[in-house]
Amino acid sequence: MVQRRTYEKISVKKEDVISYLQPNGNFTKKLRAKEIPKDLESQIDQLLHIANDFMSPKGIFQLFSVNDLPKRECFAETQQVALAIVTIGVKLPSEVNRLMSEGKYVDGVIFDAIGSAGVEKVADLVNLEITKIAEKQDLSFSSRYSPGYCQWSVNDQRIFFSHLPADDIGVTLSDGYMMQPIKSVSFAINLGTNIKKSKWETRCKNCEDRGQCTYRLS
Amino acid sequence: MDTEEIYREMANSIVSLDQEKAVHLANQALDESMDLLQVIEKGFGEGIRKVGDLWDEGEFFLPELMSGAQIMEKAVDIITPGLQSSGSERQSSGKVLLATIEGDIHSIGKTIVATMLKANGFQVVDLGTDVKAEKIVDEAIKGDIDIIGVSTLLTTTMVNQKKVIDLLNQKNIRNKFKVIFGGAPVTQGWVDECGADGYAENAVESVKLVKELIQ
Repeated sequence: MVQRRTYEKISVKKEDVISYLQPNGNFTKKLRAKEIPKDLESQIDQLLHIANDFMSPKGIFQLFSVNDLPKRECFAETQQVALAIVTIGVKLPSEVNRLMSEGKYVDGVIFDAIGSAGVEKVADLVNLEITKIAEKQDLSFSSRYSPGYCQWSVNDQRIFFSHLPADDIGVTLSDGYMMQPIKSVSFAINLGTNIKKSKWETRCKNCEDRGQCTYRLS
Repeated sequence: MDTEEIYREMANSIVSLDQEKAVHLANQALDESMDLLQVIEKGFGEGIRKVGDLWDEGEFFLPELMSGAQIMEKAVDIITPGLQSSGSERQSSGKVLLATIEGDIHSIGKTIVATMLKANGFQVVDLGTDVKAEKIVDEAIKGDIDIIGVSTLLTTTMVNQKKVIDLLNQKNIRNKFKVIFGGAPVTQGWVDECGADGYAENAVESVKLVKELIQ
């Protein structure tokens, strides 16, 4: 059965926001060791304080038998797959566009990072519910994974949108498989008795080409 | 304080992200009828280049990079009317057209690139998001553009970046423009496959790339 969730308020962690504000590349580790300047930290605090007014966190998910889904490498070891879509809505991305167009670049990039951390927080909440269901059924479960990562084609966004009533939470899919609002995330979690053999969903972490391929992960 | 020292103070105001000081120094430049082109180039411009280097070296967080650009913009805004009334113009480093390709509405990365290019003296025409290849090429022709920058975040819309190159080839004007790509899925392999002139992984790298290509 489809599960719909609306969250009054989510608590976005400052550390998560900061992680989106670091540069990519070889210097990330150095920066992690470096303390964030106090004035920047307080600016992030201020924006975090008002961020909930710009977010409408919602999620939708359902568990499917693997036999009800198209055959895919990522579903090979599982009995059930939870499909989920989450969003924080349109207001925050619109605010980011407004800030950037008015030359308020600092607030703009911080707010954008809050949006990215915010939608992942919603994903965490839905993720947690799914794993609790798995535990009740004595099933093990994978980490969450999404189309466009670890060689799962982004075209498979279609699977989510053909199996879940995403309109209910205001998320649509474009012809190019892009979700709108842009701060939306779709993900799958495998549930079963023997799903951890290949660790399919985390294989990019050990890949030699990590950071170099089209599925670039830093 | 001699002129060179004032230029150094201007550069430092950008590097130390001190907007109040930058605004004060920009007004001082007007009041003292300083050479405003040099004020931008040797003063504030030197500062924004250092800010880019600091971000590149991992010393600055993204908001600090953007703060530098924001302060630079404010200083240039103060100076520009004075430049215009004296009949001078800030010498453009080149003209860059930016767009997020058709099918994609992600804009923040492109806007950051645009901001850093402007701060470094480039004229930027930003066509926004979800822009068709045909429009990008038409506007590049109309706008006398040097470099076309095409951004995308998705592998599905990445294919539309190639359309820009194909169109330029069809019109026999490929050699009139340099074309660069940006966006998370773009790799050197994709750039080579399309016959583009380069790609950059972040805003500071894109400024370096554009400078190299425009020489």
